[in-house]
Amino acid sequence: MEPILLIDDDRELGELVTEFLSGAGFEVEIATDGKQGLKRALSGEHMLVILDVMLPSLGGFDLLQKLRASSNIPVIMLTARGEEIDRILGLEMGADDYLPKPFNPRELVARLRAVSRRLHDVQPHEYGQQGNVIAVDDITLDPLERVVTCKKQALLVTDAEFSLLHELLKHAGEVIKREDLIEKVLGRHPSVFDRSIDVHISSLRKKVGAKYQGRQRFRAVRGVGYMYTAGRNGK
Amino acid sequence: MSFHRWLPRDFFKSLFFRILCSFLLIMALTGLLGIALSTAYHRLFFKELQIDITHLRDRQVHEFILLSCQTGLKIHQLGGFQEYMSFRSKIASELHAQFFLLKDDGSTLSREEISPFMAKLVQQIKAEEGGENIIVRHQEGAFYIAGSLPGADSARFTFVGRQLLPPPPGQGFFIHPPPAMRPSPFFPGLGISFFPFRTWRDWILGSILFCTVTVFCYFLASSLLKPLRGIQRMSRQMASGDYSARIGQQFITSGGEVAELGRDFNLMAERTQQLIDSQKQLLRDISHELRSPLTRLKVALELARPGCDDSATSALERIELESDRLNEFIDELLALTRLNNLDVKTDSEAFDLVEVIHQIALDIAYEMARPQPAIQIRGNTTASLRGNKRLISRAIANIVRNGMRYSGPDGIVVIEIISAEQEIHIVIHDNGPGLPEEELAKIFQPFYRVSRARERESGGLGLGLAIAEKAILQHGGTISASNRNDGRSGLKINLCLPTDIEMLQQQDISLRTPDAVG
Repeated sequence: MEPILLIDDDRELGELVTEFLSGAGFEVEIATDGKQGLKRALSGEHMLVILDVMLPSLGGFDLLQKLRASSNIPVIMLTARGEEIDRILGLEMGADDYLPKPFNPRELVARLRAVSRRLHDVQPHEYGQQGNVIAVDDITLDPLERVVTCKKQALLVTDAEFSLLHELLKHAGEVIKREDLIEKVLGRHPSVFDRSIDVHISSLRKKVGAKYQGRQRFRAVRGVGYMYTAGRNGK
Repeated sequence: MSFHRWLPRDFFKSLFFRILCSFLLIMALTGLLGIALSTAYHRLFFKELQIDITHLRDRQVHEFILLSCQTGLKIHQLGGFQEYMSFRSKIASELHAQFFLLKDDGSTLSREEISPFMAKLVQQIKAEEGGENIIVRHQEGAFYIAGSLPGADSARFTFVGRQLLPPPPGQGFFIHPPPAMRPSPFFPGLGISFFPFRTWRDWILGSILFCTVTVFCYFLASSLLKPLRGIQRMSRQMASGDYSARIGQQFITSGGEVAELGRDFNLMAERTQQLIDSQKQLLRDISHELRSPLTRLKVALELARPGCDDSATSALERIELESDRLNEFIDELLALTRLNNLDVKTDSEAFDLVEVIHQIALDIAYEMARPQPAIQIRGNTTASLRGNKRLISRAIANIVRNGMRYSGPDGIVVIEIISAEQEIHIVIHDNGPGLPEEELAKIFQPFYRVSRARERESGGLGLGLAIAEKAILQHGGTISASNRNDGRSGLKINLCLPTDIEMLQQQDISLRTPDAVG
């Protein structure tokens, strides 16, 4: 049973979700208070945090910011339907993905499973050509350890950012379709006006640097998807 | 003050013009009153003095001419003709007096002709026999006198004299003005000629006065209007959605009625902002509150599913469907009400409409699991627009989705973008069955359905187009529906959007609000 932390002030919902997710192999701990939730999230005892960003006390975004200051635990935020601004804001603050309320519980399970797979499963066919570790430009990425370094320094990235970078570097020099990226990285289908990948890419730009040797690392190809541009000595 | 507002049509209603006209009118009236009063004064008080002085003068002239005639006669008797003539010419040139001495036979001693008027006077003297008769006349700015004189050896001479008269003292205007200064037709009763602008000096002084008055009026109007303009600016700010607009303290401390207006405005603005904020909060709260039971419902549904037999399963499916519908309904309704409260301008940005439409096409094609050619884009390859990107995207997406839904699984939706000078035209047509004429205008109404039966087949709720219409109208654009006119069946939605929403809002506001202080 995978430990999950749910931070939501709706106690009844919490109980229902606990019941449902336990049937899917996830053990849910509920925190209905923001402060309590932050404390538990930082404990490191969980695989993932589900956070309702509409929490009145210690607003969801504040909590997210504080959490991200010292932890890279995967975060799925529950947002209000139709408030796209919340989504973008949350992603920019470091959430890995979002799920608008009311959500389909099966979708939630699918995403939890996707994260779980990434964290625990080993998929041999996904290795880069130099064995486990992928090295492109000044970035080194180890899928097993889930560690990424840039200029020999370890980077703090979220789960989604890691997976995204992994995909892009694996296919450095090639364009990957947006739909494929969303499915692989976030484990779900894209929705209309889905800007999640955009936000994660701009976050990656900030973390590894937008340019390398005068060239833009990440490129968005209009109408298709994204790529990590390779230099002459790349793939 | 901004000069662009001084259009000819509005200028004559402007405060500046009104103040200027009032000033000039008052000055003119004051001037007229002054002249009338002084003239009356003169007439009342100086008339008598004039009369006295006139009498004295007449008396003097009478005596003088009489004396001149007597002296002249004596000189003629003693000194001869030449002496007489030189005496006469001296009198004439230095004292502006003329006299003639006439013998019994009517000829003059000076052997000159007398004027017809003088001749008439002489005749009158002669007609009266005996006595010392003197006739005095005033004619054409001169004093005439005629009479008879005894000569030497009991001869009798008739004399007639003429003295040119200067204006009596104490009178500014001539009683008998020279031709150049005849009484003006404007004030005949006053007997004065009033048109001060006769000399260059008068014109220059008058112009300087007029310019000074105009400049003074300008600054007066400007200072009166300054606080009003401040209030006007704040009003427009509020009208364009910024409810935090308030009148600054410096206007309010200046005091007076305008300060009161400023205070009242701030009060109104405060109240309005509170109302709007509480409404927004209410919307948020409602949507949050509605979400919670729906979320719980969905999880409970999923919990119920595993333990079900077939009949229960189909019932559960139905429950899920209805709950999804409810969900979507709340979404759309909230979107619609949000649009009502929205200030489109605060979130506006410049973007390329064609690029956005391409993205929408991709998203919807994916969402509805159709092959790519299902949505085709034609027309401009780029069209820049300034507005609320999210809203416009949503509007177009709703229309495209609608078109896709109604044209069935083989449907093709074509989006055509044409940019004109200040606007962009977008035409979206599908190859569905189209609509009856009378329905065309109604489809933008919320919840409108063409037929109840289609509801289940095509999905959707009837709010998509209503939202689209609202969004487009908020941008100052237009939207309409028609059937395709190229022989094929299908619905055609025509959109027209202004390229710059900022520009439009300015004009729109000034058209709606009367330019009361302009």
